[in-house]
Amino acid sequence: MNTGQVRYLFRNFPLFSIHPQAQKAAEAAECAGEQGKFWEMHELLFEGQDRWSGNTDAVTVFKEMAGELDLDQDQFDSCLDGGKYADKVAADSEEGLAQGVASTPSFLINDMQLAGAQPFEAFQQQIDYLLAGGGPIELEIGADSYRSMGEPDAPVVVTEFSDFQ
Amino acid sequence: MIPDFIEQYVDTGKVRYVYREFPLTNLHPAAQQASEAAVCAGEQGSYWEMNETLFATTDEWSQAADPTESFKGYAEDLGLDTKAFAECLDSGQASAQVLGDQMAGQELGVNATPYFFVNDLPIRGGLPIEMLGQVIDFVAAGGEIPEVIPVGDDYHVFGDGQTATSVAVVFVDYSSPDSAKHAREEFPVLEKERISTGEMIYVVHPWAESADSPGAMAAVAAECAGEQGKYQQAYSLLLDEQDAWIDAQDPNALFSEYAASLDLDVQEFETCLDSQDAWLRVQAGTIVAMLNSLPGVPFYVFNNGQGWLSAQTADEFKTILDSNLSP
Repeated sequence: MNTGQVRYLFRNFPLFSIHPQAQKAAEAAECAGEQGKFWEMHELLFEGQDRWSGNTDAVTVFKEMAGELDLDQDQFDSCLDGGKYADKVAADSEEGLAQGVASTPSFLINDMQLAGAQPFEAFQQQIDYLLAGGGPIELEIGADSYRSMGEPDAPVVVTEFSDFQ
Repeated sequence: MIPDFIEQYVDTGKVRYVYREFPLTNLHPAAQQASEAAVCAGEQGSYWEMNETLFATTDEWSQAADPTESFKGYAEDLGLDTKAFAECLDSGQASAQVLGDQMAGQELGVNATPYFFVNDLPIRGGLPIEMLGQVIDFVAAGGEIPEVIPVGDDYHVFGDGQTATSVAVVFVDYSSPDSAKHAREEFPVLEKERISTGEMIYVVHPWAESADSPGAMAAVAAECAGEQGKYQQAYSLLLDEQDAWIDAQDPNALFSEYAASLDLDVQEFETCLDSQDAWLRVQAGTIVAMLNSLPGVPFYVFNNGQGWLSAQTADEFKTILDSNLSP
């Protein structure tokens, strides 16, 4: 990312049903963002998940975190308590749903979806592919491809994935 | 792909064959470049020639310090424009295409090579041509592979899937003495103590060697009883009476008598015996067994909610039942 090849966007997708505090956590990140510290709070929320996840008083933890990041406490508290970014977080979720996101984390690399926590190589592969000018992934190869052999309208298509070695 | 396959299936119009690059770069460092060489030959209309050459010369280039030099030599042998070929290898265009194939493979669940799809049906690993041919013919005839444990209404499942806490999956060869012994001795006890109590479901997958063997005819007869809602009764009856029909001149005549004794519509039953559909469902079970590399039939697989256990003989079946699945 630091080589300038990729721009990284984070979109909120709290899974309310399994993670009841996730909505407020996402709002906390937005409230920190208002004071220029979105990514700092983002990191703190992920690193400090044990502190707030499953904690019925998660909001207090978020406020402590705001203090740790030297944010203006009053502004942060009123932002979080007032639910200033509740609608924005909900809108991110809806957009995620509309794009087919069903679990977290999910990543969109341009318009290709990568679901689940993936090893770095998986990101690298997709990003390299796009940077090399790769188009949409073809799950099926048409009869007009040079990699297809036989009658175009044969009733059965046998596809072999293989390597030469 | 082997020439026999091309000759028997591709050249006859039965199959369209597609090859996709899936170099396992961790295991085979030169495979990535080999795939790129095939793609670059493809750009010049000689994909299959290069594909064949690469498979035939694996020993040669996989040991080479710089395999690209070998590939360039093959390109020259195939009469390709060597300058364009070399440029293609250097351009990165081929690597993007190889990567695109790898990503498509990953999305389709490919995790080994070779990995085949016969239409949508995945097959991990290579199969002898006879077996691959069997799958192709099956798919071409409209056959569909069932789940190993079918969900929903399926007459191959005995018991109540809503309440069951364990599963027995049975691959049955209707002509096998072991299957008959199991049906006579263990199954009735299992039915009484576990299946009818809602504790276990019992899934039957038929298995048959060839369409005209008595075992296959019996398996088809069981399917035809299943169509009329009596698979389980036919399963027990056919295996119980195995000695009577196994060497009979006309097993189907006996099966019609069994159908009558089970209060089936005999005319409908007999029409079904000749139908392609019933035979396809028997083949489906046979293919499930093959794709799961079962060492032979009968074969029993159990899930006790914690893990899977398998047995091949009725005695092993009983042992597992007595030990690991005891409540």
